[in-house]
Amino acid sequence: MAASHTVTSTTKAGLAITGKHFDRSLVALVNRITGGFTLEEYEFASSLGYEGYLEYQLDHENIDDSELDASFAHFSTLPMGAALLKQTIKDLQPNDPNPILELQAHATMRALYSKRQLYERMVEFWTYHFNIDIHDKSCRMLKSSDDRDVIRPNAMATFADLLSASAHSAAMMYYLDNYNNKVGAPQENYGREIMELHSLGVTGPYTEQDVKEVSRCLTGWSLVHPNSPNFGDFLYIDANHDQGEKTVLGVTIPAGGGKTDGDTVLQMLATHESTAQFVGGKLTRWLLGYEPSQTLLNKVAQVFLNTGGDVKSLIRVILKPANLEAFDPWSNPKMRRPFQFTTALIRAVGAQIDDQGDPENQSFLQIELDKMGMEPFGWGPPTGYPDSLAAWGSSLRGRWSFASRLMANEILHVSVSPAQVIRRLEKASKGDMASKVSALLTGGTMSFHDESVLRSYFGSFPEITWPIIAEGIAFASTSPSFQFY
Amino acid sequence: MKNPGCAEWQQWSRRKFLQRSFQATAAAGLLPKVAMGGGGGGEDRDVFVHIFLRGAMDGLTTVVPYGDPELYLARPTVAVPEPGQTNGAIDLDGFFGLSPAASPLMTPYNNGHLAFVHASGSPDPSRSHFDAMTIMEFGVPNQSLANADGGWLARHINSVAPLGPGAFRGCAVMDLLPETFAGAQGVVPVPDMANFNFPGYSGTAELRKALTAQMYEEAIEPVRSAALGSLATIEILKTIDFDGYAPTGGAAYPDSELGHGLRQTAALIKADVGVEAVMLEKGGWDLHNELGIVDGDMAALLDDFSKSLEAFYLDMLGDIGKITVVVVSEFGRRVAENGSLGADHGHGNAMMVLGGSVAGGQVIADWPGLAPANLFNGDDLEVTIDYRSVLAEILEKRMGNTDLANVFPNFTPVFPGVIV
Repeated sequence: MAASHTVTSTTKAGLAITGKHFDRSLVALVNRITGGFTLEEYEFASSLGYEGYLEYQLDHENIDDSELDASFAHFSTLPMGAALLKQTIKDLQPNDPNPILELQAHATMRALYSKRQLYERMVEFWTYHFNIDIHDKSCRMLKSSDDRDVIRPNAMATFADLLSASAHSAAMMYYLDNYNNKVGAPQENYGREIMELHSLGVTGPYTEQDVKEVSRCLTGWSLVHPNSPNFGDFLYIDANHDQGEKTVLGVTIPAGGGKTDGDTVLQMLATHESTAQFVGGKLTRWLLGYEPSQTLLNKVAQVFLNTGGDVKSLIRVILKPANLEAFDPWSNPKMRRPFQFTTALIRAVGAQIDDQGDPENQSFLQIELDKMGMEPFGWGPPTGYPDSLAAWGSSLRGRWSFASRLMANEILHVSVSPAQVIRRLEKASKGDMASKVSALLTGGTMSFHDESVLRSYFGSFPEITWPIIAEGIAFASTSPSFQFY
Repeated sequence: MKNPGCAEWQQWSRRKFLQRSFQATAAAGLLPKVAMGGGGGGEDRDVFVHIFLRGAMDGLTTVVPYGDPELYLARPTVAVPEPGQTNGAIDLDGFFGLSPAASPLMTPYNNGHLAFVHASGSPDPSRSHFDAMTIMEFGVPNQSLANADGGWLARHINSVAPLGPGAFRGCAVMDLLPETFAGAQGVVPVPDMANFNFPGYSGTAELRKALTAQMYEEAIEPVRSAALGSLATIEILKTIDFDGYAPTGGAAYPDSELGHGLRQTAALIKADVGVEAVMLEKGGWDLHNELGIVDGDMAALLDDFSKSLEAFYLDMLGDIGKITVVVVSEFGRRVAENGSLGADHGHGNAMMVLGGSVAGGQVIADWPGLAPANLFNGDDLEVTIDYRSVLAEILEKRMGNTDLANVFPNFTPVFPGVIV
């Protein structure tokens, strides 16, 4: 299983696209569990088969990603603890390593080039499920450790693990104010959002009284003070805890429970039927598409309850071949968010980041993502970036601009190689250029309509030169077919 | 909600980029047309400017009911003091006062062009920011969201004749289209009007524009409309020199997202291209922890907001009779302060209405009182003026709308008298 399938490798004999038949279910799977279709990824998936490839990606810890890992050796802030991050940000000089920049560059690089593509998709999902805005005051110095210690170790674990880790996270403590939640002076921000956004969902069976009671259970949950060398570690302060009896969702939590009151609440929420529906449903929409059948949602919720919210078990049922077929993504496609639009285009054309070990070089990509409305870790409200057609469907011009400038090599430190792209297109003639571009970008799944308009584009020029090809690829990537998958 | 905190970050944040584009063009080039009215439709309708303060702005700090003694019992440490005291309120009418951090708003208030509407908002009991915003933006409190096919402002736009050619009727100065505009014809998000151009080599641009339109002709909604609307908007915005725009009336816009957005909005309205509605937003108001009414977060937010709005007002003063601005937030904050010197989610709030036809220089309110017995659910300021009544009055009197029941289903407005 040591097959090399990075998007940077040069074209091999097996990657021929002329006359190639693409399996549409496999293309749909690749687009769902990676940062976007590439010929190389597809060939690799094809060699393992649909379920073999899915299992390969699920077993992420056994995928060797050491080559990419090594490129982060110079990202000096990624391993830092909170105290060191605080000091680094405080003393930051213009050319110093910047924790925010490194974290964003790290996330983007892994989404682009990691072999653990499904794992990265799940990291993205949980990152915004347990959203923390990197610009929100102290979160600037704490999100790096939340990403490293909360989200990434648990992205393929169980929901209970994720919820508990997030509830103990220093960045989350600050973001939703629970560090200041004390007996006699409860602070309801986190108590509300943990039910509304993280577990039960806004339609869940909780009342305003439950918000107050959950907040009482979480009084005293805090973090070590900023001036301590252990800044950022979880700290339960018994003196700040409300020791009285509480009633949460109809269940009495006896007086004197101390820190365990909060643990009890987390356990109740993680295993609640509404959580299974809400979180299971959200994950199904993330991986499959906007409107899964109630039958499938019920099945997913059942797996959630049976397995304690085991992420791998959930993915297996959601992406089971029969469920993908029944969902019919070809009639019900999902719109790529700007992050995935960006990774998909860069991956498909094999663009490279200059000196990948330098986050400064990647900052230009972060600016582009910001312009399209999706700066990594940059969503303010605790909802996380939306995942709906209504939210993203009206913002297209930013994508057009990015695609055009990427293909014209106008985005600093991101390079498209004309020679490599032309080689991949296999000396396409004017007549078959459109279909080969469709193969390169979408595994031949561009709609007939879009491809025929693309054919008109190439047909408008007497001679096909590289600038015409580059603009043609940019044009194709702005088509509806490339926005959806 | 973005709050860059260090020099390194500033180097490459979008804010900096915007700033640079403004500074680079200090030498004014082509100024936008200043002719107003006409606009193609021939109707005397206001341009509607909508500012959404996201995160629940604390109306009890912004417009302080200092005449209600219960305020100081519920908020012993984080209430703006009475006028005359240190950091005290600026008196508005003998009962309400303005936060000193919002003092620039006194300019339009004293001119009779700004009214506050207190104890107002959405009557829906939701205390979820996100639910409350959707309910408010769709215009359907206390009823099923299914009763609305999109945003209330979209329903208004779609039900009146365009003021201009119709392809570009409005925009949101945001990355994404807000729900208020969901489903509106000829409305797209335009995060930066100065850079909303068609990309790529100019020699092939016309061909690619035509083919882009052709490609999207068969796309699903809202993508189809967004693509065609974006192409139309690009053509119109490129005729306006935003970078060279010189504000009038001594307006000094703050160097902030809202300041830049309102400055571009003024340039757009003065260019008279038939725009009917512009929406902006400012986040960061969810101050559960340390409200900071004197020198903290709340004061900083109010400072930027009120300076931005004052600048826009001064800039538009020559045409003030042709605009109406409405400022809302999804709900107010809890009357009682919490244990961390902040305030949790509440209910009733203060709205603002600004314009030449506004019955300004007053606080419009049917004050319910802050005594515990008078509070909504025992905790919150009651809503005695429905935000839909405020909007409905403006829609009917200033925006040519004759079908309010379509905009706000299952609702009978009671005009509170915000328009002269």
